[in-house]
Amino acid sequence: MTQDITQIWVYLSASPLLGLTVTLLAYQAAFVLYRRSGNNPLVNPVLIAVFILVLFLTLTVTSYETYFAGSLTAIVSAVLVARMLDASTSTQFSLAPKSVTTPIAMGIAERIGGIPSLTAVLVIITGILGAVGARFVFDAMKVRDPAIRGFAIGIASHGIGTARALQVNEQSGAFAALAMGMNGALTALLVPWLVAGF
Amino acid sequence: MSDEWLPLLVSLLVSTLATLVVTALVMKLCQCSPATTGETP
Repeated sequence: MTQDITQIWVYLSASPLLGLTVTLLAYQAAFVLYRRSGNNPLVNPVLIAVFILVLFLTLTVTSYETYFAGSLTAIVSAVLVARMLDASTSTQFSLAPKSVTTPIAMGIAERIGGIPSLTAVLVIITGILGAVGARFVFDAMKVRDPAIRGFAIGIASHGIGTARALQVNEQSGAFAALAMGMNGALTALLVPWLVAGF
Repeated sequence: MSDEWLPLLVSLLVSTLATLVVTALVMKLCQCSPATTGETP
């Protein structure tokens, strides 16, 4: 039995399947926690999954490349890359598309001279910040309309915020998805144009 | 990058908060229909 587990571990650790498996398990565990907390925004499943993955990568000394090849590892791996980068202008360019969904943001960052991997991290952090904090911001502003809340969270925190909005209210989710799509298209048009005049 | 973590963190926080607030305020000002109720994010 122990030998079987060892063989499975050896196989998984040598392939991208490890990253995919760990990512799915981490997100599933985080989602269970989120549900048990009564959908509390502070127990955001993406945030919890990131912590689990960082812990896993640290404990297993899993390389950046291996995890990246697996799946969602742009999050954790790009954080590691970002820590090693030191380019002021590039950092600014990397920040520019942070509120659109990751594939678009990375494409934009690459075109304008930013750091796509850094951008990926910034995008995820932005998404989590919005998903976790939006409720408190809207409550403080006394904004109750699901359409407004959804649209704002979709613009500010793309897919992660949209997922949060969909989990809580269908109308908010619909507006968040609309805003996310529109913001992605608009940002792809505006950012290169603005950077050209920078 | 170690020199830039603070600007990055502050810009992310401020920008995300500002985006939420400005979008909500603009939509609130432009909205004519009454708000609906229910659980919201």
